[in-house]
Amino acid sequence: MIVQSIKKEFILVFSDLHSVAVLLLMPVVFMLIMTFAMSERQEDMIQNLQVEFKTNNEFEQILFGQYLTHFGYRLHPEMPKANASLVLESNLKQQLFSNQQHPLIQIEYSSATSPAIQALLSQHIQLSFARLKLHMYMLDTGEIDEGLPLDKQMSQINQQTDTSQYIHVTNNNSSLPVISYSVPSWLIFGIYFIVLPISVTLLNEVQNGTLIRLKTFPLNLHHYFLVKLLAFYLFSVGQFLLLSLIGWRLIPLLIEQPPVPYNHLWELLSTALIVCLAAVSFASIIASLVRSFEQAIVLGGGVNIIMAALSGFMVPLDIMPTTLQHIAQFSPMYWSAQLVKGTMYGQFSDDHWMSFIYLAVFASISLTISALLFKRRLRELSWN
Amino acid sequence: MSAFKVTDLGYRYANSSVPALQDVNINLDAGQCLGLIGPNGAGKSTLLSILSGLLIPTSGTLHFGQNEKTTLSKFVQENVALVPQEYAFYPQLSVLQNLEYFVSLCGLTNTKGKIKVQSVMQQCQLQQVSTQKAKLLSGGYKRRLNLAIALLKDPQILYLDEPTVGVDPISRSAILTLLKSLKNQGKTIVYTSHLLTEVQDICDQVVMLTRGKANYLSLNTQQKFITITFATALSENWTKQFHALPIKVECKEAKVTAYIETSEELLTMLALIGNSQLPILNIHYDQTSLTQYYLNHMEENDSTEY
Repeated sequence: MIVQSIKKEFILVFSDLHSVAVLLLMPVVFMLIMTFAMSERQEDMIQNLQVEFKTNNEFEQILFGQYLTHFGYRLHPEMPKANASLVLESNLKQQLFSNQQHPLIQIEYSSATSPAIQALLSQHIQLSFARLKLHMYMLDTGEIDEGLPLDKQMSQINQQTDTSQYIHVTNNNSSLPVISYSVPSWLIFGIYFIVLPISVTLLNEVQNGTLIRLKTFPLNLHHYFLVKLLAFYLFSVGQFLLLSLIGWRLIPLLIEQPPVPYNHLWELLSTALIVCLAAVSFASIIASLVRSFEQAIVLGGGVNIIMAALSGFMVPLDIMPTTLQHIAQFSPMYWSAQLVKGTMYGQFSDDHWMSFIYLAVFASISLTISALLFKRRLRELSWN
Repeated sequence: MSAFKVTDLGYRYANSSVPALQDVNINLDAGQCLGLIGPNGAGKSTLLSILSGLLIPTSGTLHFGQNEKTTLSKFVQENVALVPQEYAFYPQLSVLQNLEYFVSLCGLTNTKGKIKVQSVMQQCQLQQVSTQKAKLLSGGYKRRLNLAIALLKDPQILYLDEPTVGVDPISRSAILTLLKSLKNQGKTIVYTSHLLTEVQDICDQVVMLTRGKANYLSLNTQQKFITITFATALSENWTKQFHALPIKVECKEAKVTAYIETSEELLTMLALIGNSQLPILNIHYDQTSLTQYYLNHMEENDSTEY
């Protein structure tokens, strides 16, 4: 019975193109898009920005522009659809050293400019002002030879203000960050979408009278439900391993990064087992709860999307408000993604083991709830 | 031997002031076929749900010919099979895959299961479509597969809900022949259908449900009738004369219908027609059909409510 049931569920899932697309194609597409989106370098982003820079050709204004250009910005005197428009005050030299504090630059961002880009440009404007002020000061004190060409003067200032030698990054996974963010997130997103095929197959069985028919067969329907979940669990583990293979080995190649080594097979397998158990258990609650295909799509898909957003899949958690970061700590998708990240790095910390325990507890509670809901569902069965 | 006995059975759904079933009594012998007819919403599904153990009656008793120690659900699981009106199988699976899956739920060994599948496929004439996906089958084959799955259990009692809906005459005839052969093998059948000629054809007893109440029809005691159609509408005088006869007569314009129980009644009726010397267009002598009974009954019970 178990083998026949597993065979049946696999045929049902593979014969439904929508399910295959949601479970396999969608996460791969998301992994690709998000990896490409996040792999863009900061220099490229800056070069793609259109910045309008209005001056009345005072030396200090030109010098400020030069310092800003040093970060890679392209400045245009007139640009109707610019990402940002900068207007500098006149008599910049006097105002830089005056005690009166008032704005020296007006910045207007277009609505298309993201908050992250705005923050980056603001940071570069502040740095450019700091360098301009130092430049003016050193010219006054004679520490810079006024007769030197301007680019040499700027080079001296840039050297004086370069602090990169004070920083040493010890992260030895420098090739991983982009993939370690996008791949686990969208892999987990795809895994939790197992809710749709489970709900749809169960709904079909209820609506076409198969479940009533099964009730008159010599079998315990709770046992039947459990075997159904087992079939989807096996499917889900296969899905996890396939998606991780694509995410670990194939996607890095597309962004010209070395593939993630498969050094931690046992960790990967144990992560797959617990993550898929949690996903299928959660899906079983939704499947026992929904009464129509519309409900299955709205509730199953909707809950997954909200949970993914709260788990930091769409916007990185570290730039989210603290409250949302706290909420993420209660999301099984977050725990799952943490485990997958740990597996990629081969670093199973205490946090990862806690995620493992959380998922095990979550799965147990979910299975208990779904068993009760399914029991109620069986009681409601009647001949149509 | 009684297959099941229903005594004063009643059921009332929660939050409903009207009972869905009221004082239903059925005693069906093993190997007999019970026809369950009635308009939509009359209580047929409720009765089938109770007989399947899906609902517990709110009054009365239901007794299968089972051992006292066997619970109803266990008895149903072991001896009863359902054939719902919907195609209760997996359309994406082939005929063989469907049968293999359902037989795996019957607790048979692999070998016995395979033998059972082959025998049921033969019984329902499904061999030639065994590898076809169920969703690609014609309506007739889908109905046969629906029935075949129920037969995998080798049930003693079979509930069929409109098993020939949307089926061509050849498949319908094949299904009815199969049901008659099952009956001859001693299987008890409860048959629900709106096709009353089929019910009349295969059933031994008929229960007509209207608003939860049962009317019991014996198919062996159908009433004979004679209908004479005259060339012109009957005069008031002749209408009075027909009504004055000691038999049940209905007169409507040029048509007279008399319900005959004895040959003397028939002779009396014919004598009056002969004496009248009225020009006759047509004489029809027959016995009442289930359809006529159904329509008459619904007319009496105000069918507009359905």
